[in-house]
Amino acid sequence: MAKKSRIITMIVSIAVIILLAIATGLKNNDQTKSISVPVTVKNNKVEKSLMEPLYFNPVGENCSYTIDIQGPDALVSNIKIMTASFNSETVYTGQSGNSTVKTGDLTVFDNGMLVLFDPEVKEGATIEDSEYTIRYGIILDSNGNSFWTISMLVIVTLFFIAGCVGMSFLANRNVDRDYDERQVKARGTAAFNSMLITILVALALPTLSTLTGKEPFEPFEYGIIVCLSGILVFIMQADLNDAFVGMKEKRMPLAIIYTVVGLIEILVSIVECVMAKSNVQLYTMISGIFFLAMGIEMIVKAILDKKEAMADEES
Amino acid sequence: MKNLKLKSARAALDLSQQELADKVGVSRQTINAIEKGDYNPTVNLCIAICKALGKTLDELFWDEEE
Repeated sequence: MAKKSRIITMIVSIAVIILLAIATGLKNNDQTKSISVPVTVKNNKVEKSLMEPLYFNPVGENCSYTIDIQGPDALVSNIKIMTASFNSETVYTGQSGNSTVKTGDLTVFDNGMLVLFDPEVKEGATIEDSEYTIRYGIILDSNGNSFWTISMLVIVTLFFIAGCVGMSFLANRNVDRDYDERQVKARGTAAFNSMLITILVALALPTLSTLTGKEPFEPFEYGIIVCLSGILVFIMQADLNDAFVGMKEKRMPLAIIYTVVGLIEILVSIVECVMAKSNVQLYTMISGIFFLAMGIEMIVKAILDKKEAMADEES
Repeated sequence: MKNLKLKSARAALDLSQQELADKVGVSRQTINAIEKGDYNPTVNLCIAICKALGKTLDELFWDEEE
C-alpha cells in the first residue's frame, strides 16, 4: 500500500511539474497596463506627487514597450524604465507629450522591470492652474523565448531528479526500506520543523522586502526559496536522525553527485552574474546551494555513521 | 541515562549493534540511541530486544535506583 501510494505521489508530482513547464512555455508574454494619473498644475509648474512605479515581469532576454500617452497638450512626461533587481539599471529614458512611444528592444535578462512617469510642463508652454489627468497605456512585449529560458531549466532539473530517484531505487531494490519507531518519530519532528521553517521563510522574505523597500528576488525565486528551505530542513533533520530520505545504503555516489552538481551550479551562477551584471542566474545559485547542502550533509552523516559503527566494533 | 545493562548483555552474546538491530528489526542507530539513553523505546521494542538477548524486561530496562 505504502509502495503504491509512493508511486502515485511520484507520478502526480511529475505530471504537475510537466504541466507547469508547458503552461510557462505557452504563456502569452504580452502584459498590458493602463493608469490615469491626476496632475496638479500651479504657477505653470507641475506639483510633484509620489507616483508608484509600475511593475512588469518580462520573460526572456529582451523586451519592448509601447506607451500611449493621452493628456493636455502643454504637459509632457519623462519616462524612465529600470530593472527591479538589486543592482538596478536604467535601460530607457525619454520624454513625450500626447503620442505613442516605442522603446525598441531593451536587454533585460529576465529581470522584473519598473516603469516611472514624471509629468512636467512643456518648455515654452503655458497652462492654467488646475488639476488635469494624464492617461498612460503601456503594452509590454517580451520577445525572449520563455520556454527555453525557464521551462527548460525545470525540465532539466526534473530529469536530474528523476535520474537520482531511479538510481536510489536501483541501488536499494533489495533493501528493507521500512522505518522503525524512532525513525518514524524523527520524520514527524522533521516534518513539523520543516513546516515551521516554510511558514517563517514565506513570511520573512516579503516582510524584509517591505521593510527595506528592495525586491531582490522575482516571485518565482521566492517560491523556489520557500519550497527548498522546507524540503532542505526536512531532509537534513530526518537524515541526521538516521531516518534516511530516499537511499538507505550505498549513498556515497549520490552524495558526491549532489556536491558536484551544487558546486557547478553555484560557479555557473557566479560567473553569469559577474559577466551579465545581473541576477539572471539567481535560481541556479539557489538550487546549487540546496544540492551542495544535501551533498555535504550526506557525506558528513556517512563519516559519522562509519565512526560510530567502528567505535561499537572496537568496544 | 546510559543503558549499560543492554550494552553488557549484547556484548556477552558477542553481538554488534548492527547484528542486534537486524535481529530486532530496527536500525543500528536506534540500538545505539537506546544504549546512549538518547531514545526511550516503546514496550514492544523493549520486549523484542529482551527476546533477542534472552533476558527479561526487569534485567535490561528496570532502573534499580528508582
